[in-house]
Amino acid sequence: MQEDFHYYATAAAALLAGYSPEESLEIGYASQYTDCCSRTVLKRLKGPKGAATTQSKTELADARTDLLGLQDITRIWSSFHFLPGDLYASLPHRGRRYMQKYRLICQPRSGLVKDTVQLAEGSGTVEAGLAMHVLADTWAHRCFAGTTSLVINGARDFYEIRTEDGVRKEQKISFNHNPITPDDVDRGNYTNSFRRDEENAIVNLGHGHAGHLPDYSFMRYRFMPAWGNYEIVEKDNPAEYYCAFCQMVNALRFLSGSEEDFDPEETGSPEAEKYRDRIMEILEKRQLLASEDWKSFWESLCGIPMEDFSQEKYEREYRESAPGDRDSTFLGRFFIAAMKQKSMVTNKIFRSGNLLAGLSVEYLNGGFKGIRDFRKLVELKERGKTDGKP
Amino acid sequence: MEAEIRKNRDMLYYSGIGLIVLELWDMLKNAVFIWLDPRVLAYLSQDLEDPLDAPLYLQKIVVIAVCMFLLMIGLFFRMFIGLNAVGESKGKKKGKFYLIMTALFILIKMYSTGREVFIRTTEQELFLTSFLLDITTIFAAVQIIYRAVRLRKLTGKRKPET
Repeated sequence: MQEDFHYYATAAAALLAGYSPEESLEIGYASQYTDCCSRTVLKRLKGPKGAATTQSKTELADARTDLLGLQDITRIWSSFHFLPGDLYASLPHRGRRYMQKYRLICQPRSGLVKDTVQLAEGSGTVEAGLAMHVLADTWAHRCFAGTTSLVINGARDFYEIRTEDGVRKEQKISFNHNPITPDDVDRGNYTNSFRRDEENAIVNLGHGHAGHLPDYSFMRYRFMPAWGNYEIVEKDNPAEYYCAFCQMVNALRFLSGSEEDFDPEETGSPEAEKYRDRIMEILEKRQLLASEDWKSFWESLCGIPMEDFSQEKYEREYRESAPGDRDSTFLGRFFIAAMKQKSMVTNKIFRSGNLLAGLSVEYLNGGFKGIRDFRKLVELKERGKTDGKP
Repeated sequence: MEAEIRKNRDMLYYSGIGLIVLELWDMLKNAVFIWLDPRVLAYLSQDLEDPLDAPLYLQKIVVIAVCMFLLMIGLFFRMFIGLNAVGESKGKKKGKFYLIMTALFILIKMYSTGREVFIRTTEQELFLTSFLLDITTIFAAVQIIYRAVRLRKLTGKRKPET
């Protein structure tokens, strides 16, 4: 998903869940910042590198694809953008290596989505925003995995599905590999990653083979994923984005205390249903970015102007704070929330017997071993600020 | 069933392509066997008595032309099978003739491969490589027949789109 959904739509969902306009903007900001917080940004801010929630294109181009490099990539992308749907999936006649990757395929409505939301329970808007990013991406990025794998993330035979005068029509989608040329929605000309037949090549990460199609809310398309055994997958982005929106409202109502429980299977929301037509109109409009429309929707809900997303909004506060006070700043809390999320997901993957995200140490039981940045979570627990879940 | 049809079309396509590509190897191998055979080299390089009373150079030209002709026959044979397999994989209707030719090709190839096993005249490494590639060629040809027959059965069973 893109900024239009992660910031503007998430803020709108927060309003419908009962948050104030200021809180909704904080939630939206934290959600969108998940797509910005790379190691390059952390280095600039002098923040903990373990809190990286994404990798920039430059970082990916330089990323190592040896064992440790692949584990690092998988940890980041599986924790924040491609939450695994079923870590214990089974298929007949498949080897161990294949199944490890297959089990990382992102699907919505999973147990890990519930764990992600519950991890933010009792915390503030920052943690809620991070959780909403992860939740929303499970809908857009389903059927792809947050690891580099041609046999899982490879895909071909893309057709856009349109309905004209009640008749279903399919138009073959042609891809080019020039990242500079913008996607042309009218001619069906889109950009995707070029093909490399090496299994662990960076271009085989996530939905690279599908280009930006999963991130366009208006897109309805079908394709054949490599893992599907020649089955066709159809994706109806408007419907799925609407489910993501409703699920965000439900999750935020749970986090705000208005609901007792969050059920990831529930994809309807009475609060969102009132505005269904308006929301679907935004989602189905053929445009690369729907920020202005979501912004208008947010403004219509609360009656005040909405500020646009600015990455630097809270960065100065973090940079200028004393080292001892940084954890209580907006970004300080974001970094801690990111490390908690990454820890939780990596631990779940490791405990399922899958080493693709690397090793995970239960530091509460075995003492601290591992990445220095994560010592912060132990220290915070000792200071009584966190529940210390792995 | 649609997934099964797609799978068979894919396998048929790659088997057809594989057969054509392996033909390049076969042509190279045959060219090496013919032109680097010591008896052929001796014949081409030495002045031998002409039993047919024809000029020697004309005889050599005929020999070379016959060899090239046989190589081209092999090439067109495989191209015919391979291109028909590729065409069928893309949904074009094809008859039985090319499948019969494929079966004939398999028999010839099995005979020549088996003959090479028992009457080996080549170096060990070259033989092993040649043997493995010949087996691959036979496998590709068998795949073509299997996939084409399976595809025809499945498309015959598929209900026409309303």
